[in-house]
Amino acid sequence: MPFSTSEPAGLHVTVRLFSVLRHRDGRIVDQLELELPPGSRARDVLDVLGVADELEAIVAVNDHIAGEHTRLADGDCLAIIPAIAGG
Amino acid sequence: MRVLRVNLAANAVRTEDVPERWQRLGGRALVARFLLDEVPPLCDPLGPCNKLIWAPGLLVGHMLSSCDRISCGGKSPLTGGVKEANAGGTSGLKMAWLGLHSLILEGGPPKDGSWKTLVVGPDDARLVDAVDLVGLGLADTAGRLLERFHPGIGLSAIGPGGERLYCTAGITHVDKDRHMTRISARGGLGAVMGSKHLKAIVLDCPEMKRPPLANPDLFKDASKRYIRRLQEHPQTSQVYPLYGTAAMVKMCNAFGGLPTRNFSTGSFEGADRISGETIHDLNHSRGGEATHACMPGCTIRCSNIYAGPDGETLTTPLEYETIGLMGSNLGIDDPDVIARMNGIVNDMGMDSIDTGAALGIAAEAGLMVCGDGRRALELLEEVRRGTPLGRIIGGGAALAGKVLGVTRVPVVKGQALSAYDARAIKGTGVTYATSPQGADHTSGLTIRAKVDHLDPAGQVALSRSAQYNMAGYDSLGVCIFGGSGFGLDPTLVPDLVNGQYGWGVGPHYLRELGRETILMEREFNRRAGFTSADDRIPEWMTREALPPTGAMFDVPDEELDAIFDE
Repeated sequence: MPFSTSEPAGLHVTVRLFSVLRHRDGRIVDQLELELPPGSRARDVLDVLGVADELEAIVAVNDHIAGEHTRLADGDCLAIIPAIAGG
Repeated sequence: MRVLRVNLAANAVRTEDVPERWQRLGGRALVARFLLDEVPPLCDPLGPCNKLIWAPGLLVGHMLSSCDRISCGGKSPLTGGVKEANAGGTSGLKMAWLGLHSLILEGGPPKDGSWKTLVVGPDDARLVDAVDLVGLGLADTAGRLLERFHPGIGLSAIGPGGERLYCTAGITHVDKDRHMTRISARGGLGAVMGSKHLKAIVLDCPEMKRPPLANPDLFKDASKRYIRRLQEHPQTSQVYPLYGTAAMVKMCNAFGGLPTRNFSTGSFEGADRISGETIHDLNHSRGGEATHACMPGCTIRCSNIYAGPDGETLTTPLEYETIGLMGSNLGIDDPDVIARMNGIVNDMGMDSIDTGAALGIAAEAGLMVCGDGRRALELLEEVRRGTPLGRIIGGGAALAGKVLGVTRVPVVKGQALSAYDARAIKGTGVTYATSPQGADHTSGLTIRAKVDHLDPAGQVALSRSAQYNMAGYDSLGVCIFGGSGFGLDPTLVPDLVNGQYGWGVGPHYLRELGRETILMEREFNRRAGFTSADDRIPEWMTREALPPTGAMFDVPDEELDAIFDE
C-alpha cells in the first residue's frame, strides 16, 4: 500500500522495493511514494528508508542502473534491490 | 584417512594410503591433481581410461555452516577437459565420517554388462547388483535405497540421463532431509559414472565421527567467529533464507543480463512474474517452505521447497539458474511450469543450465515457440523417454546447436553459459571464457562487485580475483554463500585450516590454493589439446549487441590470455 513521508514537498518519486526491503513494519510493501527535497540523490532515498549498507543495494532509476550520487528528478521511478552473490 | 579405489570391470574394491602429495589437497584442488596424476588427458571421457573421483573439501566433516560440500571430478565428456562439479547434501560429510579422503572409480563396466551399486560401510566396501534400480528416476532410486538400508545413509547416484550417457547428466547427492536433488551438475560427470555402469554409491555411516583437530581451540574460535559473521550479515541472515537465489532475477534483469529467448536480450518483460518476490509470495500462500538447508548445520538455508497449487511439493529447490535458463531464456513466465521442468531434470539427474540452454537452441530452431510452457514440457518428456530429439537436447546446448543448425549457441568449451549474459556482466564473461571448467558462474561470479559491468576495463582483474577465491573455496568444501562470511574476515580460512590440520598456512592461503588449482587445471587442459582459442566467448557475442544496454563482449583477447599470469 503506498504511503507518504512527512518530508517537505518538492520531489515526488516512486520506489519499488525488492527482497527483504519489502518487509516493512510487519507487512509486505512492494512500492511506496516519497516526497523529497529538491536536489535529492539516490543515496538520500536509501537513507530515508534506512537501507543497511551491508545489503549493498543496487539502485535503478527509470530502469537504468544508477550510482548513489545520481540526482533525482520529479516523477522518477527507483528500484532498490539488495545484492546477492550468486545463484 | 584412506583412499577407496573401485574397479567395476575387475569387481575389485580396495583401500590405499593417501599419496603424500594428495595429503594437503581436497575438493577441487584434489580433482585437478588426481587428473594430472592418473587420467590420460587424451583419453575418451566415456571410455575405460577415464576415472571419476569423489573428493570432500578440506574442511568437510564438522557440520560447520556451508562447509561440507563434495567435489566430483573427471575428464568431461561435455568439454573434453578438466571437470570438477561440487554440491551440497550429505555425501561429503558421510565420506569424512567414514574416514575417506577420496573415492576413485576406474576401469570400464562389469564384463557381463550388469549395473552395480557400491555400498561403503565403516569396515568394508562391496559392489552389489543394481538390476532393480536401472531405469529408475532419482526419487525412486533414493526411495528404494533409503528403505533397503536406513534413512541416514549418504547417497550419490545417477538418473536415466547418466545411464544414457547424456552429456548434461550429473551426479546427484541426497540432502539432509532425504531429497535426492543436490547435483554435481555440470560437465556430464553423470555420463562418466554411467559409462562404468555404477548406478549409486551408498555411504552407510551409522555414527558421527568428525575428523580430528590439530588445534581444537583455534578451530572452535574461528568457527564461532565465522558463524557470527554469517548471522550478522543481512545477505546471509535475511536475503538468502527468505528469498534464496531467486532474488537474483530482479538484480540481473536490472543489469540487463538476464538471459532471455536464447540470449537475444538481457531484459525479460515477464521478470516480475518469475522473480524471487513472486515465488516467495506464491510459495508462502501455498504452504511451501521458503527456507531449507541442504547440509546439516547450515545457517544460511538458501534453498526452498516449492509447492504447487494443491499445496504439494512441486520441486526442490527452485533456483535462480533454473529460473533463468528454463524461464526467461525460453520466454516462460510461469513459475509452476519452470518448477515442473526442474522436477523432470532433477529426476533424470541432469544439469538444468545446459538443458535449458539446449531448449533455447530448440526454440531458435523452431521446435517450440518461446513462452510455450506446454511445448517445453513436451520436449522434456522426449528427453525423459530417450527419443532421438530428447537425446539431442540431453546432449546439451553445443550438440543441439550443431544438430539443429543453430549458430547462436551460448557455450564456452562446449558448456552452456549460466544465467548472466557475458555482454552485460563482463567480468563474469571473462570467467566464462577463461575458466578451465568451461562457462560456469560458480568459477567466479562478479555481479556483486561495485563496478560498471558494461565497461571492459578492469574486468580481467576482477574475474581473476573471483576465480582464485572460488577455486580455493571449492577446494575447502565451502559453499559460494559461505564465502560471504569468510570474505569479511581474511583470518578465518587460515585459522580453520590451521585449527584442523596444524599446517601453519599464511594469510594468503585461500588465493594461493585457488591459483595452484587453476594452474593444474589449465595444465590438464593443455595436455588434452586446449589452446587460447578455447578461452573465448562465442564470437557472435562480440558482434551482436544485447538489448537493452546494446552491450557486446569487448574485453581484449590479449587480456584474456594473460589473466593467470599473476
